[in-house]
Amino acid sequence: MMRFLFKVGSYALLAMMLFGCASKVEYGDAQAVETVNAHFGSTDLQQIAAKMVDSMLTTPSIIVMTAHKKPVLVVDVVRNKTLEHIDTESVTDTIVNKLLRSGKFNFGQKAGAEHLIYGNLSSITKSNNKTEDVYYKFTLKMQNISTGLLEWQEEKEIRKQVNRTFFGL
Amino acid sequence: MLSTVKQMGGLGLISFIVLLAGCASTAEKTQISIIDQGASQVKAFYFTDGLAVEQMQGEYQNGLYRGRVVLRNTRNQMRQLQYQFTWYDTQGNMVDFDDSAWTPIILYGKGEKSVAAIAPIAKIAGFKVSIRDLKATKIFKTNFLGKY
Repeated sequence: MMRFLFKVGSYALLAMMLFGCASKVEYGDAQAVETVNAHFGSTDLQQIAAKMVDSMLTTPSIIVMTAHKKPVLVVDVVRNKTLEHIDTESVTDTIVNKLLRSGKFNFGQKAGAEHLIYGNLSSITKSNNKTEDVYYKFTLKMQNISTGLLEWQEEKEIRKQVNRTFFGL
Repeated sequence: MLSTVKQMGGLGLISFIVLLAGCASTAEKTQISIIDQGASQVKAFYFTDGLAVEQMQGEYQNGLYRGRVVLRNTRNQMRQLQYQFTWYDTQGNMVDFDDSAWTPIILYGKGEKSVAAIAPIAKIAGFKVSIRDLKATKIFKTNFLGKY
């Protein structure tokens, strides 16, 4: 009996050693909500882009501006003021992509542009033994290059919390 | 004897219908009213799993179609959900876009939030909203399309 148990145990240990570290690659849904950790992720980028485009296309002054012509915009930098490495150009690329598809704007070089798009991304992080709280604020602005007037501005706030648990408790 | 069999058959049919009706988890009431050309507003109530989807509205703004809906939590507990808009053309065919992302949303107990999205292209005539919990284990979809 003991010999049998020893044999079964050995096989189980061998199987664990062989397959315990096996990794599996799968395709995921790029549009799914991602909550791997509290760092800036794909869902944050998508939420920010959607909010900015929605706001820009529904603001009354922008509706008037785009009613009879396609204004030429130029995208300046979106400054990353967080402590994380975040590719803010990727955020603006998604915004530009959506705005171009709407057919309401043209994008060009600074020389012939009428409006300048710029902004910043900031964050506040707080944590204790049990919780990590990350707050992001993305601000985007549109400025008339010739008059210097701020024509549109929008913010998107995102809060994420990580609650650390021990042994699932 | 024959009438007894008929009566039993009738009772069975009624029981079957009652059973079917009893299994339906969604109680819905829909009222459609057209606001102006190309726009529609629907007062729809879908009570499914403690969530009401209300005031579905589709309208053209500046030549672009915008869908809007109010999500209401009928429970006392906070719920973390996610929603997604899908768009349909004038023929009622789904317009497939890669950038229609699931968006997380928190609904506090008995709370409600209005969510909206602009269709990615101009030639859109309707939309659907899918809602699921954050772990994507339960899902339900509104069955309304805007006016064509």
